Amino acid sequence: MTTQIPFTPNVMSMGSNIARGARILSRSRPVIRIMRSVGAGGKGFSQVLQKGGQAIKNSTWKRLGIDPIKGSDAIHGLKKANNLKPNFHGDVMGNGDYLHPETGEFIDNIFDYLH
Amino acid sequence: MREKEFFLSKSYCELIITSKEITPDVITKKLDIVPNRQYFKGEEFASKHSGTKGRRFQNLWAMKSETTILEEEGISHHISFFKSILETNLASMEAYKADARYEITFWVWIETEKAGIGFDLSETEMSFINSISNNLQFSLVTKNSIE
Repeated sequence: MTTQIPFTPNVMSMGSNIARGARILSRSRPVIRIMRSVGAGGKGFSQVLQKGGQAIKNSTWKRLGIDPIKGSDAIHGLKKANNLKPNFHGDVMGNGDYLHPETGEFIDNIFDYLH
Repeated sequence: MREKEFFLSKSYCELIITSKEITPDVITKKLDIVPNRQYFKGEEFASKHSGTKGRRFQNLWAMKSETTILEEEGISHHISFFKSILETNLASMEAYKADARYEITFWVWIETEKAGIGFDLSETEMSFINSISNNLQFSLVTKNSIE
């Protein structure tokens, strides 16, 4: 089940992103699709930690609670499992879900590739 | 604890064929090779971690060489394996390469205890990889220890 809710950027993270010159998301941007995470303890809604980008940032790994070195290993495994090119950059959700950046389709979950 | 004499590298190669239109059973029948893994477009699956359900966005067929753990760097032994398996199917692989419905990747996976590795590929090896794939990918992963 997907629920569409108005997107409210995290003000704290926007502040640090402004300092780094990152693209600012408009408050008027209508909605983003949020996947409800079910099972595994029913953790509820997950948020987008990173959209696109050249590589998953260390701050994203930190928010996922994953060591960046192990995370890099995991993302290699995920990409190979799905024959994704190195320049394929999915959206990373708070629960580790990796979504197609154009269609929003669920591709896989990063945590499933952690050793 | 006795200090290690040498560092190890774990490696394997995988030939991965994906297609939005052609299902893996068709590839299996054509090549007469049972894949190590496969899935069908539209097939439902779920994450063990998040429980999120999805449907595969493409068909996938993949065969891999045996994983080896060696002191030596290099992947010649893996390429030899694929040569032995595919030598009677080179015409089929060329046809797949020429067909825009297929994406064929030769994926080289190396995990190493070393800070860096180096290896070369002969002209024959490069030619073979080119004859069976239209994309070559490398995953080079450093590890504290190889098990």
